[in-house]
Amino acid sequence: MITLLYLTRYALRDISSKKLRAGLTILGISIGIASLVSLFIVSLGMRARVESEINTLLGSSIIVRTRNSEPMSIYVVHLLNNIPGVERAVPVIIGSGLVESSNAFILAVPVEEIKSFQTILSGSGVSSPNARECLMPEESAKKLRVSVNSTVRIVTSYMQEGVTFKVVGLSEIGGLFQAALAGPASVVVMSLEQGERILNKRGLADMILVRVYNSSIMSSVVNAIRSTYPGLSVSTEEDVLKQSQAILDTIDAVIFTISAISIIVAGVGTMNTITMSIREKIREIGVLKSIGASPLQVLYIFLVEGIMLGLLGGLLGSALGMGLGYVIVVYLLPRIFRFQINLPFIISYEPVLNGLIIAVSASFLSSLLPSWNASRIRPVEALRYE
Amino acid sequence: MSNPALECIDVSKTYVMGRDIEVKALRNVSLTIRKGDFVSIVGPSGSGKSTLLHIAGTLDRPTSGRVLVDGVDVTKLSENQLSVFRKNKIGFVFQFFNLLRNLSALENVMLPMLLSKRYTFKEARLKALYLLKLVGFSEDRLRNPPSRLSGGQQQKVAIARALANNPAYILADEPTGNLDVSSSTEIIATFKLLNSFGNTIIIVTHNVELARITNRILFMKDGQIFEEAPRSFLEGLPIDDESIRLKKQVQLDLLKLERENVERLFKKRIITGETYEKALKSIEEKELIVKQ
Ligand SMILES: Nc1ncnc2c1ncn2[C@@H]1O[C@H](COP(=O)(O)OP(=O)(O)O)[C@@H](O)[C@H]1O
Ligand SMILES: [Mg+2]
Repeated sequence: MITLLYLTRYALRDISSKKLRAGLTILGISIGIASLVSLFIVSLGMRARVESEINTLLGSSIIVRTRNSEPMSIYVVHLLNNIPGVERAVPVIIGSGLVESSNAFILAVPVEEIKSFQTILSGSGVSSPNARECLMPEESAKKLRVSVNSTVRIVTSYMQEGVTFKVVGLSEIGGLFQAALAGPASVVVMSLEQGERILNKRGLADMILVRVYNSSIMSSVVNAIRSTYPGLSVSTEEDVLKQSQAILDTIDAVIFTISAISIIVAGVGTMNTITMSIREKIREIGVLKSIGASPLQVLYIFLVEGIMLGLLGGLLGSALGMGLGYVIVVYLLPRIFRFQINLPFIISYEPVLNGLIIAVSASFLSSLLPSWNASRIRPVEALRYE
Repeated sequence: MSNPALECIDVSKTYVMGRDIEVKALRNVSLTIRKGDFVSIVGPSGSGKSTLLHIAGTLDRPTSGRVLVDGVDVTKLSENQLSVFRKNKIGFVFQFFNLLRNLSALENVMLPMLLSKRYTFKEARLKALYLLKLVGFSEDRLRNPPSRLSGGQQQKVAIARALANNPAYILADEPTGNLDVSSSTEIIATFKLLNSFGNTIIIVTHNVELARITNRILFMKDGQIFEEAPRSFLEGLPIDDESIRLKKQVQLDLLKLERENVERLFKKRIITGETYEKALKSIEEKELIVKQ
């Protein structure tokens, strides 16, 4: 025990006696770890954001569409309302057009449902089904330079001349959801009746959201719809989450590939440092062996050195990565893209823990071979080495 | 009688360099070093002195022949067994001191004891202090790293380190080769003193003064060894009576510590009864030498 502590101290002093080189190695490792940790933080933020958006948008509702994504008759809404357990079936019309000459995604829902789709940040909801009033996510409004009470001209392929709407409220949907649905386009939300008119979808719905009385009967309602109307495609929030999860997993895979490359680079750096350090100390290894250090003890000294570099690099990298993650999430992402991505900055032990584990194991693995070689050096040769 | 400290029987060492080039560094060397001997090996450079020392120190293996250290045939041991053996049986002193530069003077002396796992941290520290006192290392430099010690001081630390695990013998390869005259004299006196306390010492040297105070001088030439007739007459110690008295006290303290240590090891069953008896006997012999 004491022997190990002593050898550990010996190894640590070696690091501190080579401050510049150790510092550079630690920096190299920390860059790899920092990229890993910051990307991890971005990924955590994305997940949290996607979940919360799907949650606020859909709540505990079931999404009903046709199999070919063609609009269906509004009559389906009545059919669904008759299924036991269904609280309300809400028709939704989705379309695209130009708002103030820029691409927009149009979402039309019954007036009384508008508030359940979004949190209204300023202004109000739409006053009546026939009012030419709309809401916009704050981000879209900012981009189009409109505010509450401005009027906007909305043009669709059925309304070439355009219709003027009054912006009555600014809401919170946007961000990733917008990115997924509308891409760089803006979003406008209006009454179902206005949507039917400007998108020429009278009596039709692109999608029906079915709310149930109680989430525990969700799956039985889903089954009931499926068996009664096999022609419809039925999915739940969970399914949507799963789909987006799959996309997020792909993003994660890319993130971790990038990180893995930087970790390998850092590992090679550590291997280089340890190899250099061993080459410089061949004579010293000879001395250690001549006073009876076993091969295992020599191995231990250099492994400790490598692991310590990894640990320090991991700590520094985690700190840098947290900072970098914060900058990316809070400053960069909201500014860099045409559409805004506002992600929460999530503080969690996970990225740091992963960063540390990876840093330490990468440096352990990369110092294993040179340390093993060092432990095999024969003392006579080591002592003759100048 | 007890085993000789070192026995080389018909030892040869051939270095093979390239396909047809062979260097016969040692040719059928046979040699016996008894316990308590103080031996110098002299000879032109390239005559095989270092090679012999490395083989005697188990750092290298002979091409043929047998090497017995304290009765144990070391040519049969594995690399791992040799490291254990070296730790407990052999002390090295080198021309270029070879202290570990990340450790202080005191820590350098403690290291072999801690590596052997036979000493507690406290014991190792105390013993290192005694050993450094014995070799005349000044107390105010205990914490200095080697880089802040003179050559002579470094060599004293190296000698103390070589003594750490009570080796069967100390091997020193040109220990004064890199020192000025006054430091050399101190190192010579230190070796002489350690030998007078019963330590077996083998030195390769060009230093005539150093060779003169040893009780056996071996000549090497072309890998062969010749011995001068044993000397009954030894040159006096270049050291005054008062400091000899002090050093004797340190040696007695050291042996007391050693006795406590082996008793502890025996009680904890880290060493066998046989090893314990042997260690006690050797301690008693050494105590007797000092008290004479
Ligand atoms: N590792 C080695 N490889 C090849 N030849 C060696 C090696 N070590 C020593 N020699 C040769 O062996 C001979 C004896 O060398 P050495 O024992 O160092 O002599 P000394 O210490 O007396 O100067 C020399 O001729 C030397 O060149
Ligand atoms: Mg030599």
